[in-house]
Amino acid sequence: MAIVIKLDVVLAERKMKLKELSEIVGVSTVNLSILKQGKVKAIRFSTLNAICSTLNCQPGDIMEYIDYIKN
Amino acid sequence: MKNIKYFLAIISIVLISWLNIKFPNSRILMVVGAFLTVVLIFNFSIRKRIQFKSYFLNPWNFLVSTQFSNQNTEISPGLMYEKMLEVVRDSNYKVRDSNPLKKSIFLTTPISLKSWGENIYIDINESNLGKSTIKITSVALQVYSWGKNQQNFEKLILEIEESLII
Repeated sequence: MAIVIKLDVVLAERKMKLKELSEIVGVSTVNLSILKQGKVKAIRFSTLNAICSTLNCQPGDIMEYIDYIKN
Repeated sequence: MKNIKYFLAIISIVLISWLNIKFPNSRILMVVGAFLTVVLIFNFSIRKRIQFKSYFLNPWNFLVSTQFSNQNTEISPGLMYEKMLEVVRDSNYKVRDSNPLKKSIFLTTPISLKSWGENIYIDINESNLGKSTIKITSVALQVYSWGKNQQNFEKLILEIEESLII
């Protein structure tokens, strides 16, 4: 997949653990771990909204499109 | 193996019917009925115990209907095991046993109009680096499952797919 998830980078910058984020956002640790690996099928806007609100970041901070063919 | 099982079941029914017609005063049907009842009661009494997994999964066990399905995923086995537990706990399956070391889960379904209930055995193994294969085996406590085994697969797989939308 060309969308790379950088959630762990943002978590490290905010000095927050995944479990903490899970409790605040209301998404299970398992789902956030799968999101971190970029293996989820889709992410709801409500979830993205909650994550960005908690981490005080933009959606582009936690996900990036990489064109593997061009690069 | 499934076709052999159905073939033997049909042959048994034909043979018993023929014997009953040939020897009308004998108690063949009664004996066969009693045997099947005892087997059903025995299966019911042991079905919720993980120790009898090999009994139910034995390919020579002609009195149950077994079907399995393999699903490949991109998720690592450890994470997939946690995800499966999450999915089955939110569904109407009853978790009877789970083993995080072997990454196996044992579920049962209730009795319905089509079936006496099924045992579902889920095993998660690593396929390639960081990827896993989920083997789901559904065992109905009767010779023919009336589509319940297939229904169980479809339902579980759909629930897994839906749970990956966060």
